[in-house]
Amino acid sequence: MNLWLKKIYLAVLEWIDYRTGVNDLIKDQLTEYRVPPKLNFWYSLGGLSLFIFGLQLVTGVFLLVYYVPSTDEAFESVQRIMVDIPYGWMIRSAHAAGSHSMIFVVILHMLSVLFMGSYKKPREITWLTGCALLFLTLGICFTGYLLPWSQLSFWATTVATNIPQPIPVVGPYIVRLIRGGENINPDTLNRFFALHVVVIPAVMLALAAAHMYLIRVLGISDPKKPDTDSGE
Amino acid sequence: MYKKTKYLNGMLFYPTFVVSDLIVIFAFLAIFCLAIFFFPDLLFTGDSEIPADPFNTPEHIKPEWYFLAPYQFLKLIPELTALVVQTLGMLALVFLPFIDRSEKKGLLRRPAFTLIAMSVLIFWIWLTLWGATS
Repeated sequence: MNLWLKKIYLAVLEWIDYRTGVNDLIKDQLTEYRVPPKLNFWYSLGGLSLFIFGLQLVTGVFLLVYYVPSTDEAFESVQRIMVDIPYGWMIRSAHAAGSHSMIFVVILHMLSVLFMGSYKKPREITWLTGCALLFLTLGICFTGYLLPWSQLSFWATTVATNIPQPIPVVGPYIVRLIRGGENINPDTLNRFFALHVVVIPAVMLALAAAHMYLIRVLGISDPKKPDTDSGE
Repeated sequence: MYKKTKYLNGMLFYPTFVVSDLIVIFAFLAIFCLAIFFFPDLLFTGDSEIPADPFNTPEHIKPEWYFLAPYQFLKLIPELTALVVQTLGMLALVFLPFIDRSEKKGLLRRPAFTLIAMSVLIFWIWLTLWGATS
């Protein structure tokens, strides 16, 4: 019986591999892919950032099910998530704690790259995509902050969006552009909501893919020696 | 194209590196769960439990810890100067690979860079702590 099952299992695997080449992919990317010996804790921070980003996507989708993006109902819907919806408090707490930890881990990751000199030639573009990802992480935290429509969200966003004001000539226009009006208003909530749940996550996914593609193509940087054009 | 080092004697990505990655992820999850299940008050405080009121400004407005340093910096020197300095600082960080073109990588092999980077980092942490306690 077991032998019979194994035969079917192998036949299915072979059927899939014949049509997708997945075996070679697994070999090249996982089981025969070698990285420098002795990689320490600091090299795991990129993977950890990706993990937290995934966690944020999952908890974010759960929150999206019950959250209502309107100034009249946003606060009530968040209270409902915290009190009425089963495990809603857990999901929202995880999403909030996740945002703090993602920023923390992404900054640590950047510092390790900075001090190990991994941004140097030929990894300039990897660094640029990484910087963009850091700024988008800060942006997604900033836009998400307004969504609960509490006193904290409202006034923190008011103060923060006021910062470009002193720039000569264009300052007031930038403030208007961010807010979608003179002050924080229902349109601000709507545009922050669109940025927070669609635009920024989509761009971040694409950039993270480019970031990882470049790491795979260029290999992991070895801090012990400068890169040469010869390879090994 | 740049020929990458193959690391023929390196460690295997799977399972060796994946497992060490997982150890870090689970260590993170332990701290993460501790925060969610035992210290929920840390996440949502005071003004986050009151509905937004555009006509009632709270007395003390303070950004989250990751925006504290730039926020304090704006208070430290005239706003426009602070904005210009911070923008230039950001640009320097983004275009660092094109500014710092030496091939040396280790911390101790490039003391000037290490000194500057460490000073900026310590200044950033000091601003954050100052903002948190003020």
